[in-house]
Amino acid sequence: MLEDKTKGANTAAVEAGKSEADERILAAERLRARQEADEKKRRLIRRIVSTVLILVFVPSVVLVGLLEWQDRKYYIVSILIIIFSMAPFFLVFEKRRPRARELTLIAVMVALGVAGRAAFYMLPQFKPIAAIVIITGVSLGSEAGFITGALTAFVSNIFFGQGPWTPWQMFALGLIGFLSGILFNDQIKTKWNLFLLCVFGAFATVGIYGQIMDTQFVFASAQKVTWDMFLAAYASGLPMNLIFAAATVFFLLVLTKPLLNKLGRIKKKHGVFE
Amino acid sequence: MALVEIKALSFSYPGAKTAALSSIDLSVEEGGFVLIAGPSGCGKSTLLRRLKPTLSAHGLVSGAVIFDGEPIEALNLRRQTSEIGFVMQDPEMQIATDKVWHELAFGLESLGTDQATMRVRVAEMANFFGIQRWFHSPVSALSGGQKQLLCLASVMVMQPKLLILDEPTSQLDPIAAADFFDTLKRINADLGTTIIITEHRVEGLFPIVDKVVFMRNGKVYFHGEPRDCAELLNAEPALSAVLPTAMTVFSKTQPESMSSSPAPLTVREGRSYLKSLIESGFSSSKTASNSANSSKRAYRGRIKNEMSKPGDKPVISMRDAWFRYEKSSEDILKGASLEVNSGELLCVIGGNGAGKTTAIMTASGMYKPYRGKVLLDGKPMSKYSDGELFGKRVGVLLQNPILSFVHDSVREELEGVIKRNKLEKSKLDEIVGTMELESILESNPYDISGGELQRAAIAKLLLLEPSVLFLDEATKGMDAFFKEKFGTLLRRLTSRGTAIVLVSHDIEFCAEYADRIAMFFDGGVIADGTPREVLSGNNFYTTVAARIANGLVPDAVTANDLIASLEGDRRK
Amino acid sequence: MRDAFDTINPIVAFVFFAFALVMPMLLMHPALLGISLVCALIWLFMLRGKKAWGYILKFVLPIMLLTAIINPLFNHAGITTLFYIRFNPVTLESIIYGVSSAAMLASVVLWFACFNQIFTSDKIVYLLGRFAPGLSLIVSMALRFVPLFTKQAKRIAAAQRGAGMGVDGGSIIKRAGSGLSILSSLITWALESSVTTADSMRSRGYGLHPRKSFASYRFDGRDALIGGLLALGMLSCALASGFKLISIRFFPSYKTNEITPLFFAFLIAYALTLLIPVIMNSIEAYRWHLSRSKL
Repeated sequence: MLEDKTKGANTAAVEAGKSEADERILAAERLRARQEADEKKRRLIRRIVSTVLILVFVPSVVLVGLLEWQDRKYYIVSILIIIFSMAPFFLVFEKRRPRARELTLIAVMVALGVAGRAAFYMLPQFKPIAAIVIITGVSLGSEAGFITGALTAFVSNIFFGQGPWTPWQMFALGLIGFLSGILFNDQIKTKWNLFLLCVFGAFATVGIYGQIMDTQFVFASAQKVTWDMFLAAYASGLPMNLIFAAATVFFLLVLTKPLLNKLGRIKKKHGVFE
Repeated sequence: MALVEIKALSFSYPGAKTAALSSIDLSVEEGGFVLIAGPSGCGKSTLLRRLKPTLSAHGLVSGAVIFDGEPIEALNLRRQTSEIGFVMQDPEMQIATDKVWHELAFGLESLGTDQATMRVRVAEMANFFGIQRWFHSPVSALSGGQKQLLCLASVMVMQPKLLILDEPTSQLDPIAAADFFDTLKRINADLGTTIIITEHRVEGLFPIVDKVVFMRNGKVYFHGEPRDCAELLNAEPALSAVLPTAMTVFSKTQPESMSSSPAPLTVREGRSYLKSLIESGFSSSKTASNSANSSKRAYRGRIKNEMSKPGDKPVISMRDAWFRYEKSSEDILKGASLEVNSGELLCVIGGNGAGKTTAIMTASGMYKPYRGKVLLDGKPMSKYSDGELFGKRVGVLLQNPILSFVHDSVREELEGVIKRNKLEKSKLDEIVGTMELESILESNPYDISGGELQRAAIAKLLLLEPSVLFLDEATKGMDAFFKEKFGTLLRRLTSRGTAIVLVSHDIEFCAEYADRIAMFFDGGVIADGTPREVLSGNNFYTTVAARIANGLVPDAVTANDLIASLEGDRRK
Repeated sequence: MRDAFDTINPIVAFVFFAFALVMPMLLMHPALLGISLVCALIWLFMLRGKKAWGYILKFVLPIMLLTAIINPLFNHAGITTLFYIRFNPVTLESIIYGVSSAAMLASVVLWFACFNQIFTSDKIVYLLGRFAPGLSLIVSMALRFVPLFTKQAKRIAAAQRGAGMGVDGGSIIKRAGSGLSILSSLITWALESSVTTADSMRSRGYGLHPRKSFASYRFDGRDALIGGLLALGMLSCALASGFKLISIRFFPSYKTNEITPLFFAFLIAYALTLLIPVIMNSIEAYRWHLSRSKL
């Protein structure tokens, strides 16, 4: 075969080479189609596995924690729950050996989230961080959304200081990215879709991020928790959460369309996340 | 034995009408050092990427690339990684990790090398490249030149047999580029690594490579020893732009009696050629039309110098400006003065850290000096608001023009300016015509070449008809053909009355096109005048032609000057 | 001066911090909390000097106060009622509990303050790389991109200003608009350039298996020694709580273990374990002193 190619000076051989090349391309395309189908199947399985894990694993850890450690260890139990519930996502991600292009795209989104947090330092809580995580989830899928959310929290704490709040923030932002990937697909075309996304954004910041961070505050400050403590914490946290929600809705409104376009272009260029 | 053999290789991108590469035959010996030259878009990058399958684009391929006796597609990822190293243009984004040590180890981490070997290899490379001192630094603390050296080192750490470099110095200043070339020379000589490089800066490379390949329109046009390129010039004088100055001068002035002598490549060889030419008393061999042509080109410079009278009213005048970034930091400008007259092309040159960029930022009103004055049309800069100043009176284009783009196509970008400033729609067609943007109008700014981008960015500024344009490092990364086009364009703009201030490391370009040159050193202007006045006396900081001519031919600063004066003398 | 503990192998250092953080959370015994707080404070002052005061006054004290007050207000368990606030009993037990919680939280925050000084990004990337190479690489890239993007955002702002697209002053909406166009340019640039990064990673073999992490940290005799001491400290903690040498109950009534010589022995072991960094620093300082006085 090699010999054939090297003799390609005369026209006949060139012709042969061409048809051979055509065939090669066809074969490559068939192979790619098969790989894509496989990939889709694997993706589905992965999604089911991770959903089951988060729905079964977390409650079981809670249960064990409550039975075995009884009262006054809420704090450590809750932190462990958070860490354990993130582990499957990270494990699945590592196990499938993500491609270089996925890593760089996620790293870029993480860095944008962190740099965004730094850029709006003068406005407390008015950050694009959740909006960027949501858009990543929408465009790159639930897994990438989770990883981006969790790592954005982690990396930004490398700059601003790690603390017992780190796992909570990672979990909260990761969950937001995960859900946005499950609830929305890449096609935010109509105003109605965008509206729904903004509603989700507002809910995610107040209902998920705010709730989780206020809960961690209660666990951190009082090991013997009561319901009215939670209520008080949520009430006192609400103003800040609302600002964060407003910021998220604002950034979603202005960023969703251009960012999805840009990510779409890069996805096409890279040929990843399809 | 040949390490790389390319046999009848053709390639076209999916959906493209013309082939990007057509029937290329080329072989590179083990230990060879090959320069691939040619205009942007001639297919050199495409060819290089075919030599590294992980980076090859999809498309229609025929022919073969044989690496070390095997078809290159048959190489597995492991061999490909360890045996073929690839360094790209942009030093900034090639680096993946945040620390120098980590970046150096990256390739070995991929190969799964054991810790002990990894340590030794990393240490070796750190020593070879002299990067022990910044081994633990964050990448963000490095200069552009250091970053590109790091990219090179992080490839060399895998001890590749073949090193491929795709315009590695296009983003570097001349001194960093010279450093980089020195390192390449050492890699080739001391380690025996085979090197294939594409580059626009041929002056520094010609003396150290052993093969030169010229490509055009996807074809190999010439392939041979560097000195043999002189022959090329006889066939095609336009190529002089991409050859070393000494060689150009040689091939245009060489008398018949010396036709068998080898062409000079370096300044030293150029000077000895010139001396022997002067001693032998010029026996002409060239055709009359050729020499007339060149002298006309040289005269253009003189005529335009006379046109810009010193008595012209300055648009911008900066007097004794002092500037520093922070109260406690060092002064960058130390009493710098600069005048810009309408309709002139003023080039600002000087070494790294001389304050060139800061000077134009201050002169344009982007920075405020803490002492001294800047006047625009006789009125202090501070009297203008940002809105009055930028765009309408002063246009500033910083390095890396892509940063001023917001939209997804050149057309949207231009229309955005028109809409924001409520200009007439017809302006668009006018500017598209002047700046020759038709072919790229619908393209995404990230898909067009550096030269095209520069034109599109300038077009954006010109829509607002500013009286002064400030361009920082506008010729960076442009190939010789684009540069010539760009120079002509700048001249066309100045002839319409726009003043242009260009900061550049490219002294050759400045000598060819500037009306006036201001040379910076240590935060102030140390010389200011016509290119000839500023450059002809200098020994070091000047054009290659002037260095060749120094003391032998008076007042020659460009290759054309030199050729013209030799031809002129000969005619006498 | 560089902290002596800074040069310890990150894995050993991580285990130390995990131990220091978890113990007060598990056992909110006053003696344990006191020791943990004091050890963390001494080290923090060694690490940050006078700057530690700012951190303590601005951050640690408010958290302590808040926790100490919130608990008795919301928690009415316990049998010793001291007084009533709006018909709600405030008990001695819940006050003790509140103070203990405050001390626990303070020690966690203080140990984290030390952690943030010792665990530079290099060590985090290294540690993560041992267990999750992909994530560690993302973190490393993100750490590189953050300063790069920040710098690039400034360049973009300057470029847009010079092209007459900037806004000086103006309303908040106008400024927000120009901020957004900067953000938009930045995002485009970042995404487009990420293609180059991915290419360069692939051309250097990313994707080959198995991938190793370059260990810029060795595991030497000193690390083994510290690791051994740490293990002893942890063992003593496990034994002490297993044999009920140390125990505590807050509700319904406050009750701690009996004070025995063995309990004291355990406390000393615990304190010595937590003082490892402080002791290392002192030894090092003494050696320097000696070598200088010999000169």
